[in-house]
Amino acid sequence: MTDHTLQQFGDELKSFFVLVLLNMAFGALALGFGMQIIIATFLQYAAAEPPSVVLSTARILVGITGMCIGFFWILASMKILRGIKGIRKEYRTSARTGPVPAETLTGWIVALLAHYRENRTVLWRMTLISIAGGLFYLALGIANLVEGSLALPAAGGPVPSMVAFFGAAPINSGIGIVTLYVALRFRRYAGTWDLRLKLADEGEESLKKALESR
Amino acid sequence: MAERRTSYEIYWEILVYCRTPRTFTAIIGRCDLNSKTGQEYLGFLVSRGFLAVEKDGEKSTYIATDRAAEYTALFTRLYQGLFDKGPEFRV
Repeated sequence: MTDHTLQQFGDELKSFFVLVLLNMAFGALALGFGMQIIIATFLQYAAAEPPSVVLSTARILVGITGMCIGFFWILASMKILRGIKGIRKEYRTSARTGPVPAETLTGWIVALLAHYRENRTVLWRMTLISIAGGLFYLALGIANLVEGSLALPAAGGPVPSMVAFFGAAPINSGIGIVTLYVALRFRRYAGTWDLRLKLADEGEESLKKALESR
Repeated sequence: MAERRTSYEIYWEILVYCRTPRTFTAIIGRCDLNSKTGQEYLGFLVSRGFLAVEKDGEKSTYIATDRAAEYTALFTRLYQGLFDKGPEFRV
């Protein structure tokens, strides 16, 4: 039983670690994009034709939203990562050095279960932040397309500067779709561990009996 | 591991750690307990016959009894079963 359990445990740990790292990267991107939007808006005021107040206010609000989402995204990911880093390190070291005793594996399972109990709310919050982040990227992609399409007739045809709009659109939309996928995986992860918590709770009755029997 | 563990998980950690004789200080250090809760957990396990106290002069150590093996085996089976029988997660 241990070999199969160990394999599954390792696969899940790896998958989850990748998900959290991806989340951190997307969080950093959202923070960067938010900042970029704000800076670009302020830079436009230095141009000969300053943008309308309504448009720049909207842009700054979008930028601040992006920065906030990115900031909380990174914070939540870091909190989750801190909890699993130690277990992952132990797992990698032990798996390399030879067979893992059943007690060691059970200890890791206990540690992950405790980590999930502790961070259940953060994980669900992170799922929501990932969804918000994914929608933010998708909105950016759509905005790029709209801006490019609006600028096209004014420029009298395709010009090199359009590359920025039409190039950014698929990139942002792509990141948005991947982020939404990651959010779904987080939901699946949380669902899986919710069920495990339930199974562990159900098993407590037999542990209680074993402790109290004489 | 100072995170939220159930009392059954803490009992299991203590019993596995006490397969060789351990002092009170070593147990609470390893299992991340304070003196008060450590006393409570150890007191319970001793009273139920899962731990035995060995005195060596001034020093007292705790060691898991044969009864403890039944509990740790059941616990291991249950917790590993969460991965064997339970749902699976993969990216």
